[in-house]
Amino acid sequence: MELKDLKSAWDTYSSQEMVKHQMGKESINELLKTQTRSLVDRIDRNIRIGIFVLLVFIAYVIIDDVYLSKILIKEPITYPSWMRFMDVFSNALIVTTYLFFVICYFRIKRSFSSDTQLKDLLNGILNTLKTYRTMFYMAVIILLINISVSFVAGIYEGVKFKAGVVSGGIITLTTSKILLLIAVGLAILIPIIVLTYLLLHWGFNKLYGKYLVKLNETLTELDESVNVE
Amino acid sequence: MEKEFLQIITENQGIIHKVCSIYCDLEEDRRDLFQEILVQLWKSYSSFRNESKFSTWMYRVALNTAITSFKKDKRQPDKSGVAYESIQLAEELYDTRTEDQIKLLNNAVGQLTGIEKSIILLFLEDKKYEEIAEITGITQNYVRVKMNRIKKKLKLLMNTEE
Repeated sequence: MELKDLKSAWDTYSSQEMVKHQMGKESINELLKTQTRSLVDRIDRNIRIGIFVLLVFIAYVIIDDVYLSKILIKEPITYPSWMRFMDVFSNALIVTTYLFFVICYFRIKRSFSSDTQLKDLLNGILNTLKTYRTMFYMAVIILLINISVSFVAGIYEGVKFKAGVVSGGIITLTTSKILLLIAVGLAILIPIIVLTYLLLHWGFNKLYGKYLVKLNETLTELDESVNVE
Repeated sequence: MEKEFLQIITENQGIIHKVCSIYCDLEEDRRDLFQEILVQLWKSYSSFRNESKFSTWMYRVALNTAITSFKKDKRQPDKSGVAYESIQLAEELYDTRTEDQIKLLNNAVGQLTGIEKSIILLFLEDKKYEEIAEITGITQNYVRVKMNRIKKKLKLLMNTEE
């Protein structure tokens, strides 16, 4: 079959299809009224929801640190300075990353529409999706930092309490016992961190991984310098 | 503006149907894509400033939407370029030769990538390289290169099928 035959087959087919699917003004109007969200629209909505959820979570973490803990724990706890530093550092990191993300998002927000050149559109969607990925991993990191800090603080308090009951306090523990405690703590904490990360990473890739790959492939196909020898 | 939009879309809806025909193999996907293109056209309509022909602008929005709206895996849209149900219906309407040609067209186009489908559609619609370049946003030179490759690919695919 030659290309001219392909053309005539297409003409016959497409004219028949047009007759078959022809719609009136009212049907078109009806379709517009019942508009559904495209994948990009849904990602955009998810980012906005994510921004709000993260803000609430960060607010909770900070309020819990500076206010709630003091009310709920009746006996005063004196943490060592390295633990205080870790706490302040993780909170500062979380807030800075969040602010950086929000600024980035609003900078790329709606910098493209469907009537722009395909390359710009693909780049716009890719940037939105990558921003969403950044937000997702930021949430994962916040969660993991929170788990780690709480775990370390919990272990420290537990050991301090137990050491106070059975001996002369935490200062009397031998180096080997401290090393054993650290090893046991890490043996529990690391699998929790790794499994949580892998599970969330798998979930994100399952939802958007293929879309990202296809967008990148299409963008590469449009790149003249790569495809013209 | 809504009335004007509806009027102009009703008159030019053939463009959307053609894009849907080349990108979707199932009636359900076709309806979804038609609606998605319609929504994107409406969203972008206010930015249309007569700098290009209306049909050029409409092809661009429709093809951009089709290329970027990858469907869920379960539907496998890229296995076929032309709706299977339509071919079954076509069997009653066309003679055997045309029917065979449409099946060949279906199988061959179905194996092209999203960009290649858009170029072959515009080629089949007798668009010049200049207009194809304007719609797809790639250079005329690259359109020529792509078109030559697509022609070779289609010939090979169709000869294998025959």
